Amino acid sequence: MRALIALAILVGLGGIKLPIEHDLTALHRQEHFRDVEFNLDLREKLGQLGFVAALSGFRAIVADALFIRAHVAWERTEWGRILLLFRHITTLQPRVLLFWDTAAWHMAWNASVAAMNDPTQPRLALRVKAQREYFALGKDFLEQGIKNNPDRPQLYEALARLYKEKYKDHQRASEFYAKAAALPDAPTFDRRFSAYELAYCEGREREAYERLRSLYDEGPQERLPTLIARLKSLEDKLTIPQDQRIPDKGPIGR
Amino acid sequence: MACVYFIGHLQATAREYWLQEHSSGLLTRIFLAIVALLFPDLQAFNLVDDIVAGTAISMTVFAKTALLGIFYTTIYTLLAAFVFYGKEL
Repeated sequence: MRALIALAILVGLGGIKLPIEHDLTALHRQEHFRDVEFNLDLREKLGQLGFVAALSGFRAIVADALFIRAHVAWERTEWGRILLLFRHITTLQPRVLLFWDTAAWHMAWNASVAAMNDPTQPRLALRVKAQREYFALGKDFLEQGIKNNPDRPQLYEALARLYKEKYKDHQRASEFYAKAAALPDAPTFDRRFSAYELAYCEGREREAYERLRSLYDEGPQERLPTLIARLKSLEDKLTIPQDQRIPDKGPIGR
Repeated sequence: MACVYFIGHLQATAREYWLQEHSSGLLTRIFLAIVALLFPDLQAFNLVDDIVAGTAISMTVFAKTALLGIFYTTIYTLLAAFVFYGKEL
């Protein structure tokens, strides 16, 4: 009898606690907690034990264990396995930047080079195709990472590096450095790097010059060797009048 | 106890499904309602994964989570005491 009364009280109080729990869940989502959706897809990816562990509050530990496995797979150059493991890891811990960044680095830098130097594939066209596919996988990891962490500059920087070094797309690189620079806690070099990349874009030299010049005018702390070199190169290219050019031996703020 | 622990971690999923999904069958909805009403939402306290990832906890989240914890502790302890009161152990 007592148990039945307790059950009835529990159901009654359940009605009171539901909106409180719902409100707290919404608050958690708003502040980027509980970003992981525990669904059948994740269950299939992780296996039963991993899924149960992740479900019961050991998500970080499961992700770390998978990260170690991914490292072992890297030592064995098992690129397909690395891709699979990093997909699981980033699903479990979407707010850890290291996982997104490492996943993209493995794909776009390591696997792509391995694909290009694959001795079992004699056809260059197919090796280049495989390389481009790994670039795309790296880019995809970074784009997904940015979607999950839009407020942190590191992945924007990583994507800018990828555009610069792998796709040789300086315009996109400049754009992503600028996006990183616009975020709070962004390192000061992001603004400079964005302008450096813009300086390589055909037809945007004037804009790049103005941005570099504006950085130069901010003071000695911005007058770094690369900035001065790029600025001088643009002054020559744009035939800037002598009286408007920066001095030959400008002070270097270091 | 272990079952309650796991169900508690799934309660939020069951609750969200119950509150949002209207196309499921009557039995499913009753089952989801029982889980949502009877069990505590233990996922609400599972913030460590995000803390290690560098996510800061705001005072609002901390206060609301702590209040929910106190609410659960009080209710479930009182009900347990009520059920077991007078039982010879």
